[in-house]
Amino acid sequence: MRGQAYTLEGVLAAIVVVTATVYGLSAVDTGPFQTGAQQRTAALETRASDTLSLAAETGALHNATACYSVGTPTLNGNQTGSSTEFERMLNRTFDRQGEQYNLYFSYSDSGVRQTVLASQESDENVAERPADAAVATETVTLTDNMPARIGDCSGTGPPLSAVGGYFAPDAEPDSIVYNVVEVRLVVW
Amino acid sequence: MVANERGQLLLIGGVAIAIVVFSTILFAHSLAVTDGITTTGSADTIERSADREASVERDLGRLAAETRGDDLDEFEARYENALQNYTETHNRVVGGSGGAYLNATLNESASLGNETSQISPGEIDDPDGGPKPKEWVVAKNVTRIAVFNFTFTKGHDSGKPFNITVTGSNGNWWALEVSLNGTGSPKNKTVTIRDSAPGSDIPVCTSPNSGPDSQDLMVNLITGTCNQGSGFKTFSDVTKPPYTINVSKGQKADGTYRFAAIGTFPSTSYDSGDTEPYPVIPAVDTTYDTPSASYNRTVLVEVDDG
Repeated sequence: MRGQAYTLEGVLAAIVVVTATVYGLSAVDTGPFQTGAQQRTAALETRASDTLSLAAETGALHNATACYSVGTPTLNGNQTGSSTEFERMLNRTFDRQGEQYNLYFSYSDSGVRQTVLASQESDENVAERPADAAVATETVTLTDNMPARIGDCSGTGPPLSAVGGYFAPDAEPDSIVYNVVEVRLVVW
Repeated sequence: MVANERGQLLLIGGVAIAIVVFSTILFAHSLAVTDGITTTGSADTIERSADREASVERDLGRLAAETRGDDLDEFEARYENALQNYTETHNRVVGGSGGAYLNATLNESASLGNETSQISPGEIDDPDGGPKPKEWVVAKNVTRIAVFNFTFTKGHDSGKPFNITVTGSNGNWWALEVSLNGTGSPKNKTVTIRDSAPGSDIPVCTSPNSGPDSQDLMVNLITGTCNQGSGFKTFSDVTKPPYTINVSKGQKADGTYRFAAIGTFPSTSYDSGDTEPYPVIPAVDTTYDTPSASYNRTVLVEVDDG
């Protein structure tokens, strides 16, 4: 009789605990434990990824890529020199929040992957570059007929295949494909 | 003694319950709250894959638009070649760092669209070569047109002129006519457009019908351009898809034409072999090879012809 009572008590207690746990879990947003730094990195990664995706979707990233090295020696959001839509997006998303970033372009040159720093490297971002920076990438495909952007990036110039001094060479001379550029944004 | 045993039992039970609750919380913290509960690692992988696929699909659309351009011949072969070169360069640049290798090939059978054409200059003839008058339904329920070109080499006077009419789902119509006018010799062949609005007849280009000064009139009905005139208001400005397209009095003009679209090419106008597939919306088989998985997608590529 006493054993049955204990069993009944145990079952009821288990039901109460399980119910409370399920109710509690459904009421909160669960996720892995993160330190403050990890949370900040995750948030930066989301913003960097969204910025690149949006720029690629609207064509702003294409224009910036077609401008780098012929219309402007650097691409960044500090609003000096050139001012492409992509640079304005960088300014609104990162510069105004006091965040540092570097922008890298990787492309094919004679069958080998090459990488250049497209943003301006400042004393601050050289000294304070942390190991846990957020990284986002996007690809831009360039074609032979795509016009280069010249004159602080506001005007269209000759096609990429005809312009001199462009940073990326024609990787596929026998094809309409000019090159594929991987844009890598590193933010901290 | 009995009281001690009960106390130990309660203590052990309490510890066991605490372990279960604590473990549940730890386990829950390793999960991400999504539609289907998953670990944060796999959620990130899925998100990266979606980003990668969106990026590749954008590239495929851009390549298709650039490849199609103004040169409509051999589009399939040129696009296949562009895809091959794109794949090689993409993998060289992105494959190593992104951990995903791509293979993209054109899937002609899954592509959407058909083509009809008259390549040899002569009276504008219906596809199945029926008797005069040359009148036929070119296509019905047309939702997308990639190619709509006419080249008129000569017009034939008398009676009703050559006419092609595009009727939209909103009831509005747009028409193009080729007629002869002028009093001298030779007369001029003239392309005129009109639409449902009263008094909308507008001559858009003209040229002598014969002689050394005669020029072929090359009309692009999608962009609204003629090589011997200025731009004009075209069917998409006054009607809405899906369209129905009819030709009447085909024998009243000489020339060639080419039309490629997504729609119904009725059997009353076409015999077997009178149409052939044309990838208005190309389908591309893509394969992604990643360290953890290899998967395929067949994507319909939206070509931005603008």
